[in-house]
Amino acid sequence: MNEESLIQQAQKGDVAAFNRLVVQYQELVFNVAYRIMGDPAAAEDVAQETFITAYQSLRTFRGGSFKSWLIRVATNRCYDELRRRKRRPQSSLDEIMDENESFAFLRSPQDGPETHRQRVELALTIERCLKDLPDDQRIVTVLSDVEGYDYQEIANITRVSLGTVKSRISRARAKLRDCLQLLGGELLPPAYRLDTRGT
Amino acid sequence: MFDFMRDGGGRQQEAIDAYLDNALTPAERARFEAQMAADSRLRAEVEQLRLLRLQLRAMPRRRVPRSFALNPAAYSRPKAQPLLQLYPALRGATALSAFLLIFVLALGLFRGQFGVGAPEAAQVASVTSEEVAPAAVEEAAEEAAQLTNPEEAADSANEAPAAESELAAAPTAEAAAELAASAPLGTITTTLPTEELSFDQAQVVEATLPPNAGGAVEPPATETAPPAVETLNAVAQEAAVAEADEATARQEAPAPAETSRSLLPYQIGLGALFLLLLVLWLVARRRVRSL
Repeated sequence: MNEESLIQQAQKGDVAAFNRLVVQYQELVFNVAYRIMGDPAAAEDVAQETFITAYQSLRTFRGGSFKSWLIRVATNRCYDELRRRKRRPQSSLDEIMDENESFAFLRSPQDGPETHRQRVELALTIERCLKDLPDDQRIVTVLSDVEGYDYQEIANITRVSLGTVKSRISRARAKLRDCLQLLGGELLPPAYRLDTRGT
Repeated sequence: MFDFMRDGGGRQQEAIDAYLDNALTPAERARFEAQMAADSRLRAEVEQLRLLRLQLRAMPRRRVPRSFALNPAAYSRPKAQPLLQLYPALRGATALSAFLLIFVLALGLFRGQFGVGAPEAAQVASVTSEEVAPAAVEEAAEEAAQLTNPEEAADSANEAPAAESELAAAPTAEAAAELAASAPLGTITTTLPTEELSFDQAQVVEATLPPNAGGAVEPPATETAPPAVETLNAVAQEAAVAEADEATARQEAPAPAETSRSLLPYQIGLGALFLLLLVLWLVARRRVRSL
């Protein structure tokens, strides 16, 4: 059964059909939420809320790319959660614990201990720099550079103009580059260590 | 189109990103590559950002910690959300009601509602009566002051309603007050709508006037005074003329109060409809945007 048929079945109330769509997209939704939220527990909550909202609002889906529609729902749930967190900040201790545990998945059987350490440190640095970006810039960076969406798709998902998407991506990359140069040090490839700032 | 050489800052940065994301046209791309070949610093910057993109793209994906499939027992049929489905219609209806409301308000303003055009219309409507009333009041006052005997008093009593009938064409309360002040005679019952009475009725009214209503004035000798009958005829004619004038003025001048009354229900109804639609549209918009 193709995606369109599954959507039509789900719109009629077939939860099993919708769950097949969930299985197909849950990794994407969870990873987008994780990159935006920077916290696996929050990403889990956001992903679950995304699928619940998507199912309940499925009748409003009027065709087009279901994947983009789902990512838009996920992005909006992330915005909601980020706003809620700004009102009620979480304990920093919890975040540190989560952060250290969250990179166990980077371990590869082929990696030696030193390689693994470097990979974890680089990933941690990138995560930290991503987290330091403003929410708007982080979301477009995740959609563009992590998930590979083009500018127009990002504009549709985030409901901002193409020019805004371009300028947000541009500013976000400049900040990320500066942050990585500052924090990454020897972890970065040689070309990355060229200091071109101040031009 | 990117004018990436217009300034050295953000614009060039956007051009680099567009180059890396394949968002430049072939001509722009060729121009940018030519610029890059001549500028080593630009080249280094492009290389840095290219590596950054690669690193971000190479970030390992996390495995899903659990299944996010919905429990069929908890989630049966997707909820029908009529507000969301009606969102486009609500948007159009709100815009239409706003337009109609503005139109009706503007129409009311144009017709003199809200006090802008009302004074002019009222002036036109009362111009005839205003011309007549002061003269009539002065005349009645002079005659009242010159009264020396009951017969003259009776005549004056007969003429006073005529003056009053002329005044009745003036719709202002001020004119009525002036009349009351300028007619000291108690026999002049200012509330009698004499201009609407026929000649016979006027006689009856006159005959039933209280004998000492005027204090110092003796009972009117209307039965034995032929000139008084003539006067009553004249008064009745004047009253008829005044009434005709008033009717003409009413026909010629638009009545602002009536206009106001006729448009007001539409304005209130459209205003309420617009507010209701606006609230519904905002709620639906909020829900659509939160998806």
